[in-house]
Amino acid sequence: MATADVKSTVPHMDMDRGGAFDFSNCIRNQAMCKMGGKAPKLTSTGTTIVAVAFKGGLVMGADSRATAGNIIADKHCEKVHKLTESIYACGAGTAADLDQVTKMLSGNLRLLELNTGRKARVITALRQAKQHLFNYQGYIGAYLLIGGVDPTGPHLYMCSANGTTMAFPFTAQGSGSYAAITILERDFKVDMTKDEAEKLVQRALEAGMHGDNASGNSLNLVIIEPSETVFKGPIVPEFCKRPEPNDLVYKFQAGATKVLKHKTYKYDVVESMDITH
Amino acid sequence: MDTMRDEKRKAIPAIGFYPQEEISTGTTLIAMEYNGGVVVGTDSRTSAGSFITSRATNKITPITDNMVVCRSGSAADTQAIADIAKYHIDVYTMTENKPVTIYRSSQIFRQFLYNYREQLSASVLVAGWDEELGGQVYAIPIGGFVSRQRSTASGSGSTFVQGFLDSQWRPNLTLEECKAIVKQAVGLATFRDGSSGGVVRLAVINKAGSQFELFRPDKPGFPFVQTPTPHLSFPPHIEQVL
Amino acid sequence: MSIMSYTGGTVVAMAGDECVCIASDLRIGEQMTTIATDQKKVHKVTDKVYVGLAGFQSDARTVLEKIMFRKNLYELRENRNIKPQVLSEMISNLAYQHRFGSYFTEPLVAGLDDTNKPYICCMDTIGCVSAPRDFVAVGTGQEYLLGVCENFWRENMKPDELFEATAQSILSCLERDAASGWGAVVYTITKDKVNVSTIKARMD
Repeated sequence: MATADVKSTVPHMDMDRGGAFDFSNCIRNQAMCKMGGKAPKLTSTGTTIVAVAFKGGLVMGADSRATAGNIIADKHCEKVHKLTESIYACGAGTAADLDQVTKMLSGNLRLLELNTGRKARVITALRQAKQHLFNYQGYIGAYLLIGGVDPTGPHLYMCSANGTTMAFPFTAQGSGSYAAITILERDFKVDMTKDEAEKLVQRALEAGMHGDNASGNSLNLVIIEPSETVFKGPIVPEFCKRPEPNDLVYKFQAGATKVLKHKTYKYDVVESMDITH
Repeated sequence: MDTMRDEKRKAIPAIGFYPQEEISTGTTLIAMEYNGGVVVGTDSRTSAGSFITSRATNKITPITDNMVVCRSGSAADTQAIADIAKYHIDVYTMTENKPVTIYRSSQIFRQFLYNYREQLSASVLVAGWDEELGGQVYAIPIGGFVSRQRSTASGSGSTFVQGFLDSQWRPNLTLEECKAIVKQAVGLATFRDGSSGGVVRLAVINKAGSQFELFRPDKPGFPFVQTPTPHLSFPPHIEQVL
Repeated sequence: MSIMSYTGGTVVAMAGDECVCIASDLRIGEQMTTIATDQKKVHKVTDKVYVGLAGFQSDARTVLEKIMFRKNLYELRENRNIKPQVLSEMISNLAYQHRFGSYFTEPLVAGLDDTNKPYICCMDTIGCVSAPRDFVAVGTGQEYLLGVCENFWRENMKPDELFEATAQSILSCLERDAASGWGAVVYTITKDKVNVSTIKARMD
């Protein structure tokens, strides 16, 4: 009954406004910025993402570096987002926006699949992304490559933050895309085999990771075919490895750090098992 | 007549807004009436700043079997407008159980382009054929003013071919004559305009519906431009290859 | 000056073998003036889950209240303890709700889940989660910490090793970060207890 009490009062509180944005800090933040305070650095994917269609399927790939200014915020971030079993999205731009937009898309597409009893189509994912992003007039900084295989065949689309969409046989996005696209323009052929396409994507990604400081660390690939979807990664290219292993081991003796005050809180151990898989 | 608004949006760090170069179709669009319908021709270049995001874009968007719209300006805005207008036209067609005329369709486009003229940077050519008036071309530049044209050009490449079109158009053109003029106009414009290029796409809309054609630079039929051979740039004692 | 370094402060967390360590400094300032020297930036959420909030501390307190509110509601609804993974998703959503007018605080979550697997993650101000398997750091000393942790962290550290590594990392950071300091507190979370140690650090 405590739960019921809480539930009845919740809608009046600041929770559950249906996932809508809260703009209550906007004016304050803009005033603070005007007073000379700099806004915080947001995590950006600063990415190289690449996708290539081959005969009957699609290969998509991304590097795995996330940056906040000059800091590598995440060395192994996942930029290949799963939307459905056979539709994936690679993202470039503001990392938080990409996470939330792809989460929203995968949720909506799953609901659609359950409601209709059919597999979702790539064009549906694209439309949803496009209309959502156009609504926010580019303020949601998500640049997506949406691709996959559905009953109508393999499809690859690009969707930019202001809602532009385009279909491509091959494309790249993100800050490393200029390097990547040169490789694609040179080596892309129509109706490649799966192996050729996979190699091409990997080469294009490596070019991006090599030429662009905001891309690197490792690469992830997803190969989508009508029969199955294979995820590969993380693959660490040779030039992304640390030049020599560190044989210095920093090991501190117990008690090396001088402790002024010490307190221990014990609690009951509740045994439980992992039921997530 | 048709200006491209190329103001770049400024970053607003306080709300975490860092815009990239906007994707726009710095375009060449040509449309012309002939004695049985209309011919439209476009280039296929889409750019973000100086980067070519797509070199084989289709800027001719079919709305119905007998109508297309050619988009120029911000790609996002024109795509959204085309989607919304198509939806409305489809609903009218279904509720009234007869095709919406080209004129009325152009007015539906105008409704959005005019009402949202402050937010949008979009301009379109509505081209189609209907039983009432035959082939028609309506030009709607930024701002939402509609005018019916016999021969028109729009987009950044249009300035280069306005005079050529004026010299070529005459009443009762045949389909082949009209196609040749439109194709050559697109070729001339893409040759001189940096934001137009790629392939040439043509669409013929008449009683039979819409037929689409593609001309690639690496295949026969592409409208190449022959320019006069240049004079030597340096004094003749320097060895130069023309 | 960035709003994120107005009050100063640093939080770091490291993962070990069935244990995690989370540490913060104790200083709060008004730019270069030290105001308080006893403010922990690490807060208990449940027995085995802690959250650290670096950045502008006025916002950090507001966010902490919102986090506790949502966490309490979750526990009432679900009648179970919140897992660190769930908490981080919750904080991420909370932060993203304020996407266009964010709170100037970077949250960090460290804890053990119900199978005592360690979980650590950090976020930017609008809730982009990064959850590596080794260590995370937020706040004014982030750059120094990430560099030093890269060498101090090793695979499968036991609680006492992990404590030393975390403590030494934050002490190294305090040597070079003028906006953090005045002592540090380290929480070592293991499956049956949590050790809270206030460690000696520079007082200048």
